[in-house]
Amino acid sequence: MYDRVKRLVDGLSSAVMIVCNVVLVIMTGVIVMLVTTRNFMGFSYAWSEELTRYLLVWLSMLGAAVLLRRDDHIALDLLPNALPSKARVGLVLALRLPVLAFLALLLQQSWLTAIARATTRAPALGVSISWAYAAIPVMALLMLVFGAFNVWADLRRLRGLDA
Amino acid sequence: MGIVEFIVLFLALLAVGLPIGFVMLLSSAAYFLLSGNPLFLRMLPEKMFAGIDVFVLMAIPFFLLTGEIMNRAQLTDRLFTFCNMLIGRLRGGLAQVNVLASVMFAGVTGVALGDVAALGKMFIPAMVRQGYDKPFTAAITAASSLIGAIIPPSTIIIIYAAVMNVSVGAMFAAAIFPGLLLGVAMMGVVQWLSWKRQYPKVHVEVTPMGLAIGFRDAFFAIIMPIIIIRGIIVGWFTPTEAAAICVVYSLVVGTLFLRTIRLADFPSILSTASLDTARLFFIIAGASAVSWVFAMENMPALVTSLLAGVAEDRLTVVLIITAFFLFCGLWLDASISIILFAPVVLPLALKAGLHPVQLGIMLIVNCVLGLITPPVGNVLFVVSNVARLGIGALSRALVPFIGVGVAVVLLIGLWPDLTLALPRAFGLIRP
Repeated sequence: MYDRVKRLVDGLSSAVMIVCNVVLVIMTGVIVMLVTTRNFMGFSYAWSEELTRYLLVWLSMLGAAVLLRRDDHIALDLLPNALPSKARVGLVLALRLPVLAFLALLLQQSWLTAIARATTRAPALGVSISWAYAAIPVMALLMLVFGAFNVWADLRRLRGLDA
Repeated sequence: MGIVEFIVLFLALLAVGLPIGFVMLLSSAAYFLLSGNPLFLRMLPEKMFAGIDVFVLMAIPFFLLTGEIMNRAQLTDRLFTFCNMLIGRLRGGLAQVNVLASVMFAGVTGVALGDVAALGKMFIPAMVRQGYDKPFTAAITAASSLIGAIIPPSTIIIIYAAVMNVSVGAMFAAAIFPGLLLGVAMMGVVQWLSWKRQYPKVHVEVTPMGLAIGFRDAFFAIIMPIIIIRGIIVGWFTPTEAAAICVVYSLVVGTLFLRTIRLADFPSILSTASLDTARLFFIIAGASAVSWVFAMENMPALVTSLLAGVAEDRLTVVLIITAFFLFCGLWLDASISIILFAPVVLPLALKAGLHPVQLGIMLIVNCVLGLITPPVGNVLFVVSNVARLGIGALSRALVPFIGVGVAVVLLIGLWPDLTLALPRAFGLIRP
């Protein structure tokens, strides 16, 4: 059961990573094209700035979810590192719980924020800016999945099932 | 919940090891929840979004990508060879080469960590083989890498420019002399220690052909910041666009000239750059929530009134700000110190006659020193890892370098022309 879920979660995490990379390539391409057309062909397009700004928000939020799965966010880990390994896993596990509670709250609040913007249109792109704001609830949802799975993995570690 | 409770909660969560981005988001959420107006909670996603949704900040992923491409292109190896031919034959030559190569690589990287792992793996074994002691070897590698975060391109400068609304072009121009000065000061320390400890003096084979090839490779690195700043001044592109152009430039250099990058390298180059971006921007999102709490509590006015009467003259203000940011740097990432506290000290600095650009460079060099100060510093950790050396031994060897770093910070604060002369000459700030 655990191994099957782990494969699913890791697959999801890799898929999100690929989306991030594609977003980064698109952002670079759009800006490079903008500079080229403006300097050499004498025209530019107004939507490029909006599009890349919103893509940056998506890149940051999706990448942050992958970092949560990998426990790779920047932390001050003097205390955890000073503890024996079992106590460290216990502390890390205890810290995941308030984060999960916060993420549930953030999911609800950011969803409401995104919905509230449904009728506001991005001036140049012409689409609803809910699409940009949706990055935060999507991140919160992904983080809830990854965070819950990390709790499960920690519990197994505490019971001595995994290294 | 008042500001005191907020700070206590923040420090407690930080101390137990919660990731710093969540520390900032959780304590802001608690502040809004307990402030009696739960509707404020809706501001949390708003502030996170607004913190990232800034066009200038988009230069950061591009510069991170550029640095990563140049890294994989093994530009550092080429710079090493070239610098070694230039000054490798001096006493303590390899240590000087270490600093000079970092100064050159600073022109293509926006962070300190970008080159420290690559340079460390190359320099530390090579220097130990020549007979340098390991703590010194590791210390000079760690210290010289800081220049990469200061000389443009620089991600931390972009964050400061975005938060404080100053021109990136002016900040980039202003960073050049202080960055070079830091390099020269470190070379001075190296020279002094080399004489004192009689570090090795070796013969280096120099051929005109080798020198020519080396010069071409080094030229690729040196020209990049010049293209960026020149392009911004002339109006070819904005700083963000300049960063995207740098990605193309590094691709061309890596694939056509150095021919060290293969198609198979791209997925991992992109993943590294994406995750580095996300790691930083998640912190920026959290910090912009906290800075809203600070604004609600009117922190800048509070600090200014607290210090009114104590600190009026420039020297005292520079000393107080420097001491405070050095303390923050012991614990916090440079970007966090800048986002949270630069706006707080701005009124104080303006009153003492500092220019916002000058203040920015002063704070940035200061915060970057935090990367090598114990107990917590990313560069400190990476180098201690690469060199297989304890944090304690490495920290002791770093003392003279941290010392000259602090001296440079104070000099920036007290001597406006060090930072402002270049942007003024380029017409990027008013005379």
